[in-house]
Amino acid sequence: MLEVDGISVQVGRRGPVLLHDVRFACRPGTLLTVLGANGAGKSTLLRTIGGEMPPAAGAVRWKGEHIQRIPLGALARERAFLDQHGAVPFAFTAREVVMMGRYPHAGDVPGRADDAAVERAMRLMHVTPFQHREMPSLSGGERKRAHIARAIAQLDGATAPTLLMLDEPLNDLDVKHQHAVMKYARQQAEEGHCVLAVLHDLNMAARYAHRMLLLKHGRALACGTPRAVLTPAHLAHAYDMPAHVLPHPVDGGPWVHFGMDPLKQTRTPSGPAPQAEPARAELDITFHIP
Amino acid sequence: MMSRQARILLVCGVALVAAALLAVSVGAMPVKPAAWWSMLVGGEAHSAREQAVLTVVRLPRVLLALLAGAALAAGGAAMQALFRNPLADPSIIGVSSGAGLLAALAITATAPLAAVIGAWAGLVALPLMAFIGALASALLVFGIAREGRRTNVAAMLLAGIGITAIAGALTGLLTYTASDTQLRSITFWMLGSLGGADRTAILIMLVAVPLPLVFLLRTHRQFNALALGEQQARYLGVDVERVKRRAIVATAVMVGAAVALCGVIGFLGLVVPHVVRMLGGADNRYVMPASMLAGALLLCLADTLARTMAAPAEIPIGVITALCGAPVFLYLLVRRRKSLAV
Repeated sequence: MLEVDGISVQVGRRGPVLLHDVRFACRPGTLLTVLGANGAGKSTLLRTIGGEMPPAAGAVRWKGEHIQRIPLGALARERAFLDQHGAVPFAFTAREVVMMGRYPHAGDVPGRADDAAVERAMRLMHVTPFQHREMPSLSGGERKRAHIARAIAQLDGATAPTLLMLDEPLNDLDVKHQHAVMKYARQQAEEGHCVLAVLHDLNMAARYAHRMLLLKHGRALACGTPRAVLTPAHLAHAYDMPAHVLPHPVDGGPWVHFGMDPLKQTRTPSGPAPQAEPARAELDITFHIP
Repeated sequence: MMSRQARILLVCGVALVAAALLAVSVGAMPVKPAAWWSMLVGGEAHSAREQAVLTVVRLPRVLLALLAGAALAAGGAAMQALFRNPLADPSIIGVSSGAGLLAALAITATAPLAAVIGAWAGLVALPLMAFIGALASALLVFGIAREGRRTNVAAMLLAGIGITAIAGALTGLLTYTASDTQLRSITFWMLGSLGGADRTAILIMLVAVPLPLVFLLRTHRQFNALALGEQQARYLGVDVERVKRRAIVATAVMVGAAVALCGVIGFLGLVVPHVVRMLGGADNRYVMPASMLAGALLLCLADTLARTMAAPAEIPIGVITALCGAPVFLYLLVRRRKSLAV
């Protein structure tokens, strides 16, 4: 399991403190989402856990060992990281990028097991139809899916627990693929792995996460179940916006709405009457939807 | 069914052999295929003169072209992968400009040099000095870009520009003070020539080039992973710092040797990897060997042209590589510009 033991991160000796005494654990079987406003330290936290920068204080342990002392090759076989930047400067095909996830496992030439892992990952993220197209010619969302499939392929077949870290995986994705990613993350967790995801969409987080960590100015504001973390007080403080938490109409979980209380909104008498369907006049073009 | 990449490699390989055979056959004194064939299989050439032309003049020259071409193109591919920048070429780490400066020094300061290293000076001074210049400037660029135990690739790019500017200015100063004959030598060296090919040159290339080439061939996956960025490569288990260090040393040594012996042959290192990628994709498992084969092929053909077109005079090979290669490159660029991403 992953233990983050009171880590602090500072830029230089006197620079700004990016993280201050952050402490939490992610046990196997947990999808933990990291939430917070811009600059709250979410990505810094993931990068520190990833060993990109040594913490000024505290330690990150993976299966009881300091993560920076584990050899890179061994770590790469049980930990994958999806970062926010997806630009690839050369015309690699989507499939070649997904195959890069198998580098920690494959010999000099990828074997049948690696091909199978790549196929599975591409199917999960629906990359298969454009697998032979070059990355620069793909849309932002398609590129993102190829990178997610690469992370999935990297952990394919690894014995639990593995650590999957996703930094804003839902950016650029359409609704269907946002859910596909979150479903995969949740299922991966339920198979005994650790999954860490930085998200901005609180309702997606509430719907899929087992646990949540809410950051503000580099400090942990709350850590626990979605119900415990997503309270109006926590959210208003973390995001500096009035927040309301309602029971979700379908699953009863927390449902976050920022801004004015949606239930107290009153219509002015002169306003339009509520309508189940938009008036014809509001639609410029209509199509028949079968 | 062979993959497209395997077919390209095969075509390059076959063309390379054909080009090498053509190159040993043509020239001021044509050698019939029967002559080199009988020599190749262990017999004797038809005449002592043919034998001498083959072993003393042609073979070293063709071998030098093959080794230097492979080194320049593979060095370009490695630098492009390392800097994640399709515009990088081996000169980006300062090898060409450093070599140029010390070569100009060797040409203009023959008298003081001869005093230091004696009668040898005339024979080895120029390539030796150029090689030292290449390695020294690469080392300087590398040193400026170090931050503790890390190498900052962006800083390296800029350091390369800075060092190139200084070396260029100093070379300009030497050119300005040079006599007319010296000026001609410097200019000719800057345009590149394989005229210095002899056994010593081949021996030097055989020491300096094959090992770096093998290293680059074996590092294809690390180079691929680097396309995702240094941090992502790390997450794929790549020891990024080690790959950077080794790739820079490998490139500096082999390209340094090539530049020292052949002068500055521009264009090849930048363009060959591009053409190779446009034809068969970006996977370095294919790009590295294909760049080596195509680089060797192109330089061999260019040198054959250089020494036959205006025989008995020689056209500088840098002129040929740019004049023949650039239009091909532009044609491919126009055809495939959509898939180019910078």
